[in-house]
Order: sequence, then structure tokens, then C-alpha cells
Amino acid sequence: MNEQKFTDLLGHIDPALIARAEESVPMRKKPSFRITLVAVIAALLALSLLLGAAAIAFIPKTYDLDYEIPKQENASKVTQIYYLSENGKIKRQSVLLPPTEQNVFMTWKHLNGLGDEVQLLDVTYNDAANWSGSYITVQLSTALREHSDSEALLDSLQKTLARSFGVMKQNVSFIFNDTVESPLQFYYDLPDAFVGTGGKIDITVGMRNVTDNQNIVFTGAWTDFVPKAKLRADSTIYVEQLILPLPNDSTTEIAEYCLAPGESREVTYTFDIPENAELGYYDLILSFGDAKMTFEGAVEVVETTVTGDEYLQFAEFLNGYGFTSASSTKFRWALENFKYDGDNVFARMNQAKAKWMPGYSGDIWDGDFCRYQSTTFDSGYTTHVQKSTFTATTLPDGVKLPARIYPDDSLTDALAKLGFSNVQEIVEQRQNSVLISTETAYLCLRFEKGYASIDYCDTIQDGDTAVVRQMHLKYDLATGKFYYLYICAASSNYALPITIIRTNQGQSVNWELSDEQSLRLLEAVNTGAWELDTPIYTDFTLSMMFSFNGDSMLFEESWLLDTNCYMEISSLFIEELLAGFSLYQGEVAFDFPVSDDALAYVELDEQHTQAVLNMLNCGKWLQGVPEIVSTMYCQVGDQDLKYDPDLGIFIENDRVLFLSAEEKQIIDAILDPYM
Amino acid sequence: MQDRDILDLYFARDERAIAESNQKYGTYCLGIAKNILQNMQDAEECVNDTWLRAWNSIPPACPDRLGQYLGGITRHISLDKHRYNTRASRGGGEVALAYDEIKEVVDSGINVATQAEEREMLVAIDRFLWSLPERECNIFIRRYYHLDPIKDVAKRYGLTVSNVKKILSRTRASLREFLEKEGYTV
Repeated sequence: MNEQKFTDLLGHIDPALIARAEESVPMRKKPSFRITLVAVIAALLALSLLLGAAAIAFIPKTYDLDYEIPKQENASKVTQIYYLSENGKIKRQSVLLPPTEQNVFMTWKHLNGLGDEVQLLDVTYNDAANWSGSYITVQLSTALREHSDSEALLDSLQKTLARSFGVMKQNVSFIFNDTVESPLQFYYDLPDAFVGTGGKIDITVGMRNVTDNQNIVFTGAWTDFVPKAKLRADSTIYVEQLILPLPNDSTTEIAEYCLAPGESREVTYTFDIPENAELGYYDLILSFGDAKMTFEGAVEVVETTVTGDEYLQFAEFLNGYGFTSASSTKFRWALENFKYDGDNVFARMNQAKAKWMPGYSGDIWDGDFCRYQSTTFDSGYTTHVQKSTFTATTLPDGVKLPARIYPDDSLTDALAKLGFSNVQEIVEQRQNSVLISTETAYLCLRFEKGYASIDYCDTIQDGDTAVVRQMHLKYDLATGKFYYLYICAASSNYALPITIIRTNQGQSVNWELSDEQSLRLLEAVNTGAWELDTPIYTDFTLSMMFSFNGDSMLFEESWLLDTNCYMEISSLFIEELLAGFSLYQGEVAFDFPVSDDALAYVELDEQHTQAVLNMLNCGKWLQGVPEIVSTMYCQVGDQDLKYDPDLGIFIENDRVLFLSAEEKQIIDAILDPYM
Repeated sequence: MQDRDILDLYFARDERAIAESNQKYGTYCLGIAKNILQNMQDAEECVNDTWLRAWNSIPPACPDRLGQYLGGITRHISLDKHRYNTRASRGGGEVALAYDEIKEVVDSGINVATQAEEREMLVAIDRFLWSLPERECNIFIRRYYHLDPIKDVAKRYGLTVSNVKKILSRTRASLREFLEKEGYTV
């Protein structure tokens, strides 16, 4: 049985399981860190931190977990955990674990199927340093008291703790409090990372005083804060690895440290991945003296072969690491560690690394070019990345890599980066676009959210597949030709590929920039009406883009237009679309930037000799009335063409001409082809 | 309309059953299809096919949960359509990734020769899923039944992406071990 058949088979699992998984989940944003304070009398460390949210996601049958090891001999012992079974009866389970109160509590919590909101806040004994105190007072979060089975649960917890720590059941008492937040918060930066065997990974950890007006003073020595990392793969294997080095200002002397309100102090540690580490996910656990934190970030140990500089064209991104197929995603990235076998390049976008590297923060589109350089890896470093495939290509002659524009670049700098150093004139500058002319080109640059996104790709050919979001045209004054400047991928889960039926080389287009948006040319797929011998039907493909909740969606429809066919987007069509979105969004909330996409409709006359392409501002749908923002008149068939050398376009009575193949040949014969 | 009333229409061979199914579960099924196919046109086609298959299967089928029954049909048709669509092209998006992940479970060699054995294995898988903590089970189902992207699953349950990946990885490993112990592997 292969994976496809198995996935099919999963389609027939118990419907009750499916129904349960479809129930609404109250969205609760996991806080960045949530620390509870446990009073510990210690000479060197004033605070001990327990992460209540360190939930045991899955307990293997042996219960042989990476439990907190108590200060005394780390002997695990058989512990009886009492829990509430499904039929409401209290059952008992023997578990082998190091018998700290947190371990016992977490195991009890797991067996009862309780969530992160149930926390152990504090445990006090009448003899705090002695495990066999006669009385135990347990401080719990209020969530347990508010549970529907609170009485039975507390009863089971009472039995568990009494049995575990050798006290009478009635001497275990409970106090309910909200989570106490520590004024001193530990934080870390351990993003998802991929690293190879024998490689290194950097992790930054720090402390921050989160009070407004209180200095936090604590005594300790950095040696007490030496983290000890354990790499643990899937809770069953772990490799213990000591960390190097100490921070620069480390000292073995005990000293007093003071953090002012808002002040933080951090250090970056480098961890070595053992050469013989097994491939797979690892958790990192860092200890600071008596404090211990389990970091959520995972490290995946993989293997690849590193090669040298390559030009890469991103063919597609596969999901799993923050990208979706044929999509764009905003992120900071650095490309590193890849393998090129002459055909495919396997590489990894290391989101983690990019946070510490000067890098580009913006959109990456399918078809983008990127040059990879690395100065940090050594030749013996091997990592392999799964699930990301890039197609390497040699850049065509004369094509330069696209420049990346940063928000604080001046317009002149931005244009210079794009290769337009001889800007003769900024014809028009609008809120999000600028029209410029140079010696050889007349160009519209569209700025999106502070970035100019111009990419050159000359490999688009008829029959190619691309996901279209927008197309920008470049007009060359010298040759009188327009070219696709770039095709930009759409984002989100609804991106649709279209097939480019016809490139626009040789076509003339005139446009107007409105105050609200730049022109977006939508591809009109012509199967014959634009040719000399006019057929009966005309295919028209409409692409439209929605932006909502920060995501964009490309929607595409094709129509077969007949004589006098007037195709428009009706309000019913929009309603149906909205209904489809509601399943995902819960509630539909659209935010159409006024500069965003247009819809279009085409009117053809009876003879199919002319067409009117009306483009509407999609944003106006919110008001219920589509508004035409741009109109192009299209001439079809055998016409006298007039070439205006000053404007460099073909016009006739202010009408735009889409040239047929035959017409194009005529023009091509007159003018030298570009490149 | 209540599910049992819709089922009555199916059993009475009253074509209103289709309209009522569409009315009640059309959006739900369309969501499942779009999640797999990423294409509105194909998704609508699959949903339309769903009604036909439902009509042809009820009776004799009499599902307890009509919504999940119809959603399961849509899922099946959509996966077939997805396989057809992606046969010639690269990529494949979310479904392809889910296949890659499930491969870890089946790579040991699942050996079921007959439909009866498949049904038995399905019962065993149900048992495995019910034995999981609810959250882990739901995450597994959202990923491999609904084929939700991992980031959507993470968002749904308030977890980080890496946490979800870990949970899924562990669950897959446990499922594999479970199937081996149950004797379904070579």
C-alpha cells in the first residue's frame, strides 16, 4: 500500500473523530513566555522558573521522558498516578519517573487530558527543604477549580501527591490563584532551524526586567548560567552535549547583578551538533542553575552537500516551512547550504539564520532570481534539506540580477539599483508608482508597500505556466516593442496557475495611471477573434485578485464570448465567492486597497472587429458599484496601422491595437527584433 | 433540514435530497475540495460529483453523520482529481507534502491484500486514533484528513509550527509502530 492509498483510506475513519476535529477551537494565542514563580531557597539563584506550558505532547508507554531531574540522586521511582477515567471512575497508573512535584503533576495532568491552562504554581512544605514534609500546600491555577469535574480531579490529585510524597491525603491542601508572572523573564531566540551533523547552531538567551519601576537584583555567577543542552529526538533518544563558551564577561566570582526596568541582558551560545547525531527533530533544553526551560523551537538535523556560488531561480516553494506552493510570503530569509546536481538544486531557506544576518525582508515570487553566497560554511559541512526544490539556471546573457530595494532607499538610489542610472525624467510620481523614462526605456515602476518590485525574466514563453498576479510592461523606445517585465506570483492557498497563451512581444499597449492604481493588464486569451479571419467565438480569460486579511487570492475564470457578448462580474458571483471564503475565515472581512486589482469585462461587436476592455477597480465592490478606472479599445482584424515614432506605439484614432500574428510578422519585418 | 429528513429524501429517491444536501453541506464540501485542489472550478466540479455519488450510494448506505459522509466522498473525489491534475506537472502543493509525510508510515511496507483486510486495518487505525490524546488526534486528522496546511493547524490550536510538526512526527511514528505490532506490515 502506498502513501496515496493510505491517505485515501484515512478518508474512511470514524466520522465521530472527524466531527470532533471539526469542532471550533477557542483561539488562544500562546504567550511568548509564561513563567510561574516557585519559591526556592537557594544561595546562588534567587529565582527558579518552571514552564507550566511544557506540556508532554505524547507519553510513550514506558513513560521514559526527559523529566526534570531532582537535585538528589536522579533515581526514577515507580509512582502511582491517580486519574479520572472516561467512565468517571478514578483509576491508578504506575509510572516510572524522577519524583519531582512538577513531573508528578504533569503526568497526572496528561493522564487526565487537561490543557495548558491547568498549572502547578507553587508547592510548599512545612519543611521546605525536606521532601517528606507532613503538610503540603499546593497552589494551582484557577482553571482546575472551574473544571466541570473539579471535585473528582482534585481528589485524584490529592491521592497522587499524598502517595508520591508520603503524606496523609488530608494533609494535601490546595490554593487557587492566577498565574503569577515573574518580574524577571527569560527569553530565548530559538527559531526553527536546520543544521547538519557536525554543524553548529546559535541560540540567544536573555533575561529581561519587565517591571516599570523596579530594579531586579540577583546574585549569581555566569558559571551558574551555563546552559546544558540536551538534544532529544522524539522523546526517545537524546544526546547530551555540553555547551561552549561562556559569555565574554563571565566570571567565576559570585557577583550582584542589577537589571533596571526594561533592561535585558543576553548572550548567544553556539551548540555543536554531534557528528553521529541521528537525523530528525530535536528539542533543546537549556538549564540555568536551578532554572530550566524547554524551548519550543525545534532543530532538525539533516544532511546535504554544500556547493559554491550558484544562480538560482526559484521554481516553487513547497509548504512546510512557511511557504506555500506558487506563493509569496513575507519573511526574512537567507539561503544557505544547498546541493546542485546539475538539474535540481536542493536548498534551504533558513528563516532562523536570517534573523541574525543582514538580509532582505520582502516577498519572494516564483520566477525570482537569487544569487546565493555564503561566507560562513566550511567545505566539510553537510546538510540536506527536504521538501524544498529550486531549479538552478544560468542567467541569460545581459540579464542582471534584480536589485532589492529597501524602504529607506531614495527614489534615485532605488532607480539606480534597478539599473536606471540615466533617468532622464520622472514623468509622473504617484503614491505607489512612478513613471520614468530613460534613454532606452519608458517604464512604470510599481511600488508595493515601500518596495519596488521589478524583476526581469526573459524566459516566459507561450505555453509556460505561471501564477499571475500582475504583469508590468516595459516599452523600449529604440525598438518600439513592449515586453513582459515580470510576472509576479500570487499568494495564499487560492493561487491558480494560468497558461500563457501568447506573449506580448510586439503588442502595443497604451495605459493611463489613475490616481488610485497602476494599470494591471489582464491577459486576454485569444483563440481566433483577434486574427484576420474572424471566427465566431472569442475566448476571454479573466484573472482577478482579492486581498483580504493580509492574504491575496487569485481567481480565474474563462468565458467563451459570442457576438454582442457582454460579460460582467455580477453581484451574485461575488456573493457566491464570499460564501466560499466564509468557511475558512469564519467571518469574511475584506480589505481592498484602493490600488489593488481590477476586474474587467469585454464587449465585442457583432463582427468581432473591435472590443472594449473595461477595467474596474475591485475596491469599489465594497460600495456595491463597480467603477471603470481604465478602458482599452482593441482593434481586431485587418486595419491600417499607424506607427507613431514619437510615442513609439501603434495607434489608430486613439485605439489600442492588439496585433494578430500576421500583423506582428509584418511589424517584425520592419523593425529589428529585440535581442 | 435535519440530517434524518435529508436521508429520508434519499431513501424515497426524491431529488430534493441533492438540493437539501447542497444547501446544508455545499459550503462544507466545497471547503474540503478547495483545500485539496486550490482551484475553484475543479472544486465545484468535485462537489457536484459528490451529490451524484451520494445519490448512488444512499441507499444502501445510511450514514450516522451525513456531513462527514458527504465530506468524505468529496475528499476522495478531490484527491483523485488532484492526482490527475498533478500527474504531468511539478509540485502538487499541500497534498503532495501530506503524502510525503504519510510515506513515513507506509514505508515499512503495509501489507493488506484484500478489501476485508483494509477494513480491518481501518478499524485498527480508528482504535489507534481514539487512544491518542484529543488534541494530538485532532491535529492528525486536520492534517491528514482535511489536509490543512501545517501553519493553519498550528494557528487553529494555538501552537507553533514546529510544535505541530513534532506532534505529527511522533504520531506518525507511533502509528507506524502500532501497525507493525498489529501485523499490518511486511
